[in-house]
Amino acid sequence: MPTEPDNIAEAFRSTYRHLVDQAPTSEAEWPPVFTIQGTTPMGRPRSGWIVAAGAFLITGSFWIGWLVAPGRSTPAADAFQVQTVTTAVAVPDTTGIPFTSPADAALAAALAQAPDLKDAQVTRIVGIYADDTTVDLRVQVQASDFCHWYGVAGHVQEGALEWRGGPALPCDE
Amino acid sequence: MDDEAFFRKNRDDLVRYATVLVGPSTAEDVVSTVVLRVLARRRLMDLNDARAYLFRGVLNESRTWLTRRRSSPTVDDVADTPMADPQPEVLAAVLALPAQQRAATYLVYWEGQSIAEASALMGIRPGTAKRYLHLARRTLKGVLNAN
Repeated sequence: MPTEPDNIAEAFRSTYRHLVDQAPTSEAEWPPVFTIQGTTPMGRPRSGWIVAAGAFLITGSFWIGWLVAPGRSTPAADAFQVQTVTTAVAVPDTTGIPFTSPADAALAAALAQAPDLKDAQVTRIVGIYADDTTVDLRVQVQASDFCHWYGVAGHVQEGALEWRGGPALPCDE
Repeated sequence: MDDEAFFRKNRDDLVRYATVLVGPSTAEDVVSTVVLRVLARRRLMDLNDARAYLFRGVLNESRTWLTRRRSSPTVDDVADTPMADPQPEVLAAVLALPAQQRAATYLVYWEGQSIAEASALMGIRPGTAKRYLHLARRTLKGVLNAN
């Protein structure tokens, strides 16, 4: 670390002090449960392919509900023990359109379910299961008079995770 | 130490690091993506240096996110609270730095890491870290001189 104080170093420090003050301070939970703030508002469809994805999802015919298979335990999966899931959370098959984040996948699924949905936000992500190639999450999407959990599956494709959203489960079930 | 204890111990550092790189609203998302990606393959404690691995993951994921968004965080992204300092022009200049330069300067000037420690967390050579610091300092010097 440079030891000689100067105005440039101090400018960096004061800037980072300000930035660090903005860092979210929610309590760390395990398995990872994150609250996402300020994610994509859904006042309007963001692109044509999301509309296409919505039409694709709305048919519902492509989603195959399957339970997280018992016994498929790996060290990584152990980190994602199912949390208070009283109703089976279905995850999609792999024919859905991939997204680059679980939040986007869940929001697209919500838009497919409720095309007029306004100002929806992803408010929680709960880790459900993981193995060497798959991560399953529950993603909560909330808006006024709307709250659903979506099964979202991530699959490793060429070293990167692609995410697909699945069927909804109302928050109060 | 198990994965849970390790995560709890390091999570705030990772979120702060991500906040500097992508802004507060996306920081937790970036950290969660990185942790999930690691856990999909292995235990954290199976990594040689899990802390450095996660820091590198956060930097790489932040760069991917910034590329998708095609811009750096703006002053508006990080101005939820009254800003006593720094000067808005300085903050904007720091936020406009490439992610690698911001990461290097954050680790050195805020975290107090040595060049060697910062370069290890970033997964780069010490000489490269020095170059990032030099470029960042030069940029900020121009802004300060202009003020």
